Amino acid sequence: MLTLYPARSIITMNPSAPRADAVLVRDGRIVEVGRQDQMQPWLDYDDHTVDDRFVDKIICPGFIDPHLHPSMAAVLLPMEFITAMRWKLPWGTVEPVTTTAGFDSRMAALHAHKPASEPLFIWGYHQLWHGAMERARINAVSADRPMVVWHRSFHELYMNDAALEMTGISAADIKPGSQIDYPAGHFFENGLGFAISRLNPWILASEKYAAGLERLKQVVHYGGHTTIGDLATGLFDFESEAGALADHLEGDDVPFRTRLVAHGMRLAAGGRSLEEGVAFADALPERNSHRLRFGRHIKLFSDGAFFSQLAQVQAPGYIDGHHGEWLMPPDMLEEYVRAYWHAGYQIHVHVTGDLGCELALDCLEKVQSEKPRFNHGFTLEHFGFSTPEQVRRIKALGAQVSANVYYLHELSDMYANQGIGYERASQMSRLKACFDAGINTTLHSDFTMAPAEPLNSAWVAVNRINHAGDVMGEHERLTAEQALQAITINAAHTLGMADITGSIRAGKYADFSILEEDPLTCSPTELRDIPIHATMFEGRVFAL
Amino acid sequence: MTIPVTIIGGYLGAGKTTLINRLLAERKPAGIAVMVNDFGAINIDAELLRESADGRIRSFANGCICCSIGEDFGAALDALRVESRSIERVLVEASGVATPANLKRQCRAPGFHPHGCVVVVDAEYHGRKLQDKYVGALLEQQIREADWLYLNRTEHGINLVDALQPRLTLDELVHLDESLPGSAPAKETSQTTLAFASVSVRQHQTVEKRTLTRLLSELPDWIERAKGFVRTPDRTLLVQHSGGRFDIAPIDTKAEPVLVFIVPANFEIALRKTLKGWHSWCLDTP
Repeated sequence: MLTLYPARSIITMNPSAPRADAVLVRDGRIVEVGRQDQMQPWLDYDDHTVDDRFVDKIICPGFIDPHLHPSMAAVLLPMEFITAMRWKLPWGTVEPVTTTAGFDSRMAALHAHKPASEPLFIWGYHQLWHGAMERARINAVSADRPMVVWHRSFHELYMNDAALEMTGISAADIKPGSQIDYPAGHFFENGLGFAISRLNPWILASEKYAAGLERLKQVVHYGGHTTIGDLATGLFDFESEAGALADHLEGDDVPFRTRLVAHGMRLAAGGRSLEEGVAFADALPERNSHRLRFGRHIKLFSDGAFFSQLAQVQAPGYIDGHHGEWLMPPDMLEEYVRAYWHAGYQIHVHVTGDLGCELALDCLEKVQSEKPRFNHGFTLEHFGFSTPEQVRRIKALGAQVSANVYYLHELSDMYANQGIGYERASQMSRLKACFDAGINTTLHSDFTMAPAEPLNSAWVAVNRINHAGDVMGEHERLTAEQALQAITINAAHTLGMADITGSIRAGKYADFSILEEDPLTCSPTELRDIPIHATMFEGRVFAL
Repeated sequence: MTIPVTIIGGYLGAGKTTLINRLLAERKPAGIAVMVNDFGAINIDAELLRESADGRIRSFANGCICCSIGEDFGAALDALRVESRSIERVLVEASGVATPANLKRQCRAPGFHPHGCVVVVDAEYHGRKLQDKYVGALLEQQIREADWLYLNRTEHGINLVDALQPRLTLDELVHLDESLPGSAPAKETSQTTLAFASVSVRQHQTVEKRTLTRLLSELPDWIERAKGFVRTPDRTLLVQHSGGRFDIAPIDTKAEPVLVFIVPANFEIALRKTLKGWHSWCLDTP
């Protein structure tokens, strides 16, 4: 049985035939895309129906976020958001709160509306917008209901009296220098680990975690995705995570597939050698189900968190002279890259600063000379700071780029003033240069580091407008066409799935994002506001 | 009474695991809990008595307790506290990219206190690693924040890093003890760029020992360290200057007569000025 979907326009992302007005689908796959009057031979041969529900819509390839973290999102999504930036979530849009008074009144509103028996977890606080936080300030909202205010960076939190009581944390537990300010209820950096260990019964309880994964499922659908990449499976604990993902992200009600990329450091731990880690990774595809797929992909790490200014940067460094950090010792990264390179893997390396990027490229150059490989897909993940010279090296070495372009929107202003200065801050996410060099380049959210909204990422990449409203690095702006490539076909290439999804052509899965407006002809500043009407995953419509 | 935690730090390949294995071999391990990144590399020549439910903690017949750190050091300490009441001391093998001040802060978990951080240095590779664009700043910070240094592979030439902190012998390490020198105040330094500069001067004519003694005794107190060989009319002397004290001893060597000075980086110009007074025997004005 064939189903014919006429549309206002179809953006195929196949450059040989970029536009069409209808797509013909059978058994979840595209049979033909093009002009309706040219499809008659198929219709003469087989039964068909015409489904005209998208006749006034724009059909795009299903969006792909090639790098997010379902397990981290599952912890965060059950919380309430009070954020300085807008977050569109399936259960409601979180409007920006950018003042101290605004934060307090939103806390009070949440307290008034949520069932009194539940502790209240709030995520998104940031001192630059929301003023200094402390226990007394939360107590002023309520000292009786346990309330925890989590920093946007996730690296610190504040508790009120009731939360301290709930977790059994008393002043006697706190040693000097433990990065806990007990009177302020403030737990930061290393003190945060202590707080989390006491909060685990509430945030990692299996029913909470399951509810979080269900919310993640909604978020992914709501963003218009039909494919995502879990870019560090095993972040917390490999087997329990793999089990939870199988429980929640597989099944007929799940409107997307997930490329699982295992956390390479975790695989070689707990007594396993690096070689045994590679062997473990080799066996992972045996666990694949229809939607959840491991492949010959591995995730490794270079330098530290971008949000925490722990990216390793080349001279002249940070304004205040501090250094970033390495997530793996550089020699260890090289050893791991070598092992997985020789085993034929596509290696994804977390890089945030230009020194971190340089290290990853040095590792790649070494292994390229040991065993030249073509089409190896070595991917620089996040790609915060870079240099134009590195872009040329990326091209020469055959690597690709997966960028968290949202850094530019949320952080370029702050990093210009309090990080590394205007020149380099305005040139973070150097993406036009990558397109010009012919590097396969994609955009991701690293959710919850950025909203899991591909059209929002595309909006940042096209406009490069930061939260203050300034254009940062105008020469690095992408065209709408390039941005759409980045969130569809280029992302499919990065995940090693371009043969089955990422564009609309005969033979691929019928994975579509169905939009109300045309992203290639609308005003660039309206990209992020285009309503998503529905998605189709393997021929099945999932309404929004 | 809280349990002291001694951290074994140092960059990848410096010899941390080897050192821990030697400590376990040479000291009766009863009462020691060893926290490691990975069980695989530790030689425990004893039968496994039992393993905790999560596999994180293993107890051995010889009394040693081994605990894997995993991602969360604080949680590992928590687990250790629950697991055993017989622990007198904890040894922690730090990740190669961890820094001592940060690690010591993490040891302030309930029930524990930081004893200090030994940074293991590979004397053979250290000089080269300090110049490495990726890890030079990290190694410099590890050494600056260390309470003690333990030098590995010292058989390969003179190494000057031992100037900066009390240096331990294996013997002292084996008998790790709360009264170890330098264990008192935890150093909490902020990050800066390379903190020390070294200046080498070559000798172009011999110098009388008493002149040398006078020059050394007049050295300003901000000189961290000087070390090298100096020729007198009748012999070669090994000169070591550290912490305001100096030693001079005859030595049989054909090595080139060179003295190397280490000073805080911001004193480099002052050092060069000071050494101008030495030019009667220096080849060049440094």
